[in-house]
Amino acid sequence: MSVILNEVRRATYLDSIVLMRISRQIAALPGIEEAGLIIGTPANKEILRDAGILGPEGATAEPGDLILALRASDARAGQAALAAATQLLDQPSALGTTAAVESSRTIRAAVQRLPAANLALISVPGDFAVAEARKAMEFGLHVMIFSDNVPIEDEAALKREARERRLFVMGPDCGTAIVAGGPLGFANVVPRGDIGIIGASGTGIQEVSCLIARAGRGISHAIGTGGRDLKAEVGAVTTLMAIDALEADDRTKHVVLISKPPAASVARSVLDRVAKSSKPFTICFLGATDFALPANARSAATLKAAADSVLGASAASPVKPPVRRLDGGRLVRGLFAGGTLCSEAQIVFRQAGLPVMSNVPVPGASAMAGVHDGHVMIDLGDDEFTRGRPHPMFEPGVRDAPLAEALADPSVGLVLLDVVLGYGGHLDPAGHLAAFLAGRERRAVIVASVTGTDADPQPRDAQVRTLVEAGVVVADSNAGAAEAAIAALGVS
Amino acid sequence: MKTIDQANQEALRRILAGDPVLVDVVPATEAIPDLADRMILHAGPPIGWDRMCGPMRGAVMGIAVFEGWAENLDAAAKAAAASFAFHPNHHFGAVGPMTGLTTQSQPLMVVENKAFGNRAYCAINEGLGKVMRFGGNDAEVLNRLRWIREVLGPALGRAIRESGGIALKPLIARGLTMGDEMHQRNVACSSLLLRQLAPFLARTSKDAGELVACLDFIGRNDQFFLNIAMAMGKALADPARGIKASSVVTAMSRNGTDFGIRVSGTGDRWFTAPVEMPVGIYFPGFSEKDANPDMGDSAIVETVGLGAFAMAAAPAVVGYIGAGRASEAAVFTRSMAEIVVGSNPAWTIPAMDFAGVPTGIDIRLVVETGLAPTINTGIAHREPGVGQVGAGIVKAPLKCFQDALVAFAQTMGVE
Amino acid sequence: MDEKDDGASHDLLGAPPRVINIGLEIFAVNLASQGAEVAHVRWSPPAGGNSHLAGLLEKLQGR
Repeated sequence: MSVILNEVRRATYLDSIVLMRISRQIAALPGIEEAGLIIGTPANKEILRDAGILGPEGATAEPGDLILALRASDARAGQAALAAATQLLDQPSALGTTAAVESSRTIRAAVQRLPAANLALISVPGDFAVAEARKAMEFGLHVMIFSDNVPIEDEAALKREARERRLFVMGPDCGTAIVAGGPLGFANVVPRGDIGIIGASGTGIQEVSCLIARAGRGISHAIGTGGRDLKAEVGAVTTLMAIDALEADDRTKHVVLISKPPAASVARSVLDRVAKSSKPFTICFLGATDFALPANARSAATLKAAADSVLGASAASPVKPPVRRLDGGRLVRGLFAGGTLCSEAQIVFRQAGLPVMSNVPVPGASAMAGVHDGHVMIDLGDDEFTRGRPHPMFEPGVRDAPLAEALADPSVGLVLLDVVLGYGGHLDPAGHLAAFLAGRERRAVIVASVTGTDADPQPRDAQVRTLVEAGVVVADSNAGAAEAAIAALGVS
Repeated sequence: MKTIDQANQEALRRILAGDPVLVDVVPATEAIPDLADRMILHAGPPIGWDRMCGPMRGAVMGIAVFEGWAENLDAAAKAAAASFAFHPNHHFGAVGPMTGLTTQSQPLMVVENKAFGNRAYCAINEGLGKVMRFGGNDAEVLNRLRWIREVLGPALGRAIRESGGIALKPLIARGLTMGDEMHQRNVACSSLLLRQLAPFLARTSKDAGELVACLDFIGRNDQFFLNIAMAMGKALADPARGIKASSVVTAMSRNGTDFGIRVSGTGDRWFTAPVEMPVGIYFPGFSEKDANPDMGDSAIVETVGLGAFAMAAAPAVVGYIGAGRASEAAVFTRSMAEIVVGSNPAWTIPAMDFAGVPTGIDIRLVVETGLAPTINTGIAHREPGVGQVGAGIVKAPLKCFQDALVAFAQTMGVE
Repeated sequence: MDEKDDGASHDLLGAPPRVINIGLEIFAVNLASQGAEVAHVRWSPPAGGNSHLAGLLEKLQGR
């Protein structure tokens, strides 16, 4: 008979990565069926309730409190796990980081310590991100908001205020930026160069900047705008400021603009601004090429095409990895950590005339139904998978269960994966995948791309080697992996 | 600049502009003419006999015998319940450590803030161990109080007047460089003061035996300066009271039952919450079971940037309060720097690259961060008459600041 | 849509960013490991998550 145990620590806040890490450690203890350490916001309590581990004590928690909730096979196992959790919580230094950086409790005190500060990187829960951004702007700081779940009208208002103050708001939901060689959030170690990137998507910036770096070129700046900057409500405030800033930046000789297809009115204002620029642009409105472009702009449907466009034709003839023709299952299952990489794979399939389904369908793809009876591309970073759980870029274990499911499905002949490296990400995603695959029965071919560079904290060459040794076919780009999959289907 | 920030800058300016000078020691009735018979001023926010903690009651009983209002302690307890008038020191320009009782026949030290002309008062420190401020009330305690009243007080008064007054701001600046934080540790300032006063004590003394007794009493008491620092804190903080739109704290104080604060923009209203238990180390033979909740007006020194706010100046205190390594002293000061308006350039801490002590607690910052002001404190035995059993630190209850914020917001038309 | 052009923004691109990091500590650690100037804010919900008090603070901030 399993038991549910809850403990509430009043007035305790820890960042979600730390809590999720401890949650996973606790869940792995003997006799523990489910465990969650989470801050007591209403939304989080709902997650615990859905998971069936919210007890009466946890229900009393306030947003400033920490809930330890678990279901155990018996009370003794549960108590032992709670004790273990307490121990982990009480040794923040054991989590590795506290001593490395001096900290304060307020932006004001941090600015006093670092008076030269010019940018605030905000990764607090979405409900609080705008208020913190406003405080940061009071100190004259540009803002990068990593947090998501910010209402779009708040985003629009914040960006207008920032523009009045001549400050950038990168985000919300801005995963990646590289400013004057400084990687922010999830970013790769790429050389400095003359190519500027403006990107609505973090993994999009990562893929393009890594393809450029691996071709021997470099990045001047990569400015993240957040995924909704080109929506009509926001009106491209950040994108337009970024175009102006890169226009004024002597180092930048070519600009790549990456976004989902924008609203027509917004596209017009962005392209009008591009037309005024003295620099060549590559416009990658993922999947959409039917825009009237100014003379100084070319269009690219995929991230790979965008990189090729800026690099010139020489880099555009990739070596396709040899993938055997599928003999058993005929379906492709893509399991992606990067949302834009998931979109790109769909676009490649649509360009080849293949039907494809997704939980985040691009135009021309269909929404995923309950039964997976076609080619399916799943974005594991989407809300439905990350609610109360870590993002797969932090924690590759999130992909284990869907991967096991795909490998056990006789209709699946090929699994497409992305492995995203760089600062902020997991330290050995390839190693995790190899360990997962070791000794596991599998019929399906596994094709992966590795977004990263050899200079990353997880060097790409070593990650690729690990994957190859584990029997994974590694493509040179995400689009290349999708093309390899299509080749294996015998379609093109 | 925004209204509140501007008002807070003014509050800070007034605290920093203060020029506190120890000018005299006078009988309490001379300093506070309203101090009537059977009237007792106590530490902390208002409280009646019925809610007083053990040490406070013990001190009340003792002082009643001392003042001749009761034959003995039992009679004093009955009289206290029936007919004594109790008021906070703070309502009469005074402060007192721990129980902090002020009554008509005690001598009070007078600190005048020359920049603003206001005065503040505090009784003379009785020394360590079994003393009235920790609820002690036996014959030894009362005899010492009599000697202070009849010998030490007048002698100190004569010497201070003869000296022309002791400027306290530079004295404290030196004390900070010598390891004092002016709450838990007053070794340096007590010594500096005695060094400065000794010639004047000698010059004005009528009796060599009395002079020896006075010098010996002050010289043996490492905390002698505490009461002067407190009167000084009160003298500095008072000009910052009543500034419209200022969210700066002008007093923090405890009576052993409640913790109370006052905020500039909300005038003389007290915001109170149940006082917390200090955490610290105990004298041999005592433990937290014996401890009384936190007590005293002494948190006025934290209100003006000393005590726990200046902990980085006094690494020796960190061991005293059981907080661990001496290098952690700076953590307290840095943390308090997050809840204040500014820092005091006249009072700097060598170990922090001569950063000024954090000054001017802003209730908005306290509520926002949840960082409650930390206070260095002595720990009294919970039973009357026993005295001090340890020393440690205590947090001001957040509820005081939260309630104050709500009331302050109302004054700003914000609900 | 607002087409107003406010001219150049405060210089963001001229030098490597000096960062105030608010929230996930890993980002501050990463920046520090690259030698970037960074100060970390150990963020927690304002007023301990008490929405009434947090609301008052926000309104008072503008005064």
